[in-house]
Amino acid sequence: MKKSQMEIMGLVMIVILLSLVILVVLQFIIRQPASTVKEEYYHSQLATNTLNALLRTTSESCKGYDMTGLFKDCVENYDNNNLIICEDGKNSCSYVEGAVKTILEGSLGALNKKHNLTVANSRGAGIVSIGNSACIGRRESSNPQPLSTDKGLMQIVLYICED
Amino acid sequence: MKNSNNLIKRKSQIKMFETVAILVVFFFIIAIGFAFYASISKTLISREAAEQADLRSIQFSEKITFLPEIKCTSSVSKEIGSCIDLLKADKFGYLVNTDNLAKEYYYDILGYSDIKIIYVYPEKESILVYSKPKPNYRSISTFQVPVVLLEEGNLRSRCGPEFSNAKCSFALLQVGVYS
Repeated sequence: MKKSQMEIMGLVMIVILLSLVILVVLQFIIRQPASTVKEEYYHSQLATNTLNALLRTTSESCKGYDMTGLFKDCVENYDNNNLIICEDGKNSCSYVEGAVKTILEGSLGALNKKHNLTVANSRGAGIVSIGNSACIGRRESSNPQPLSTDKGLMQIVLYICED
Repeated sequence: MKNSNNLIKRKSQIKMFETVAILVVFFFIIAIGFAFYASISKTLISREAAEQADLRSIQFSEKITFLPEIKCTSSVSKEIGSCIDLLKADKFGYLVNTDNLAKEYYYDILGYSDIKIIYVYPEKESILVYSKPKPNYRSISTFQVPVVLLEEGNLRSRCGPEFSNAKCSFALLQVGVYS
């Protein structure tokens, strides 16, 4: 092969390599994740809005109590076995668990968001935990909702897992 | 003399061919570059448009949840957050779907959009509050906000019997914005 031909081959190789690099860079630019505005909004507001609405929802068949009332009864009367008995025969603890599960599955579940709701006492010890994930990794939490009971101040928090 | 003239002619022809070939390659490269640039711009523009549509649907849902025509009337509404009064929403829906003047008036506020209340708990049929699809629309950006739906009674800070006679449901306010 002549020297000039070798030089041309070298040039061609450089051009091909440059084109490949440009293509890879372009692919990265084009394949950036789609719109994040909605996700950001969901992360900052969804947990708080969901918990706010959930706690004020009236039970379908438990003497007209809302979810906050049922949580309160569950925490206060779990030990003395004096729980509210709902129309379907369930006590407040199992009724509220089922109802909250239905609500979270119907709202966050429909948006493919894994979630976990916890009721904890002032020392942070969990009393009730409802959800489809342990939410151990990265998560967004709602503003904690205080729940005043005979057994002290409880906090209800809803976590939305990011993975 | 004639031979040397022919040689010069040939040489200049080769040079000209070379120049033309370079120009062809140059324009070819420019065309490829332009095609790339156009396709990237198209992707970026459509992504920007989708983001804008999402943003509009979020702004829209915020506007709607605070619309006095459907919002719960309560002295503690700040505490409650997003709350929709079903009775008001029902009447509002009836008005915008039957009265032409109201239709025109609310078009200025709500534009081309759909507003739907989807029951989550208890499960019931959804309620379409407002619907005005854009003719020949390209896409619809939807956004859902969890809301308390006041079905009956007067709302105070909570919906339980120890606080008020209100009956509240859990619903999603779904807003779809046409573009």
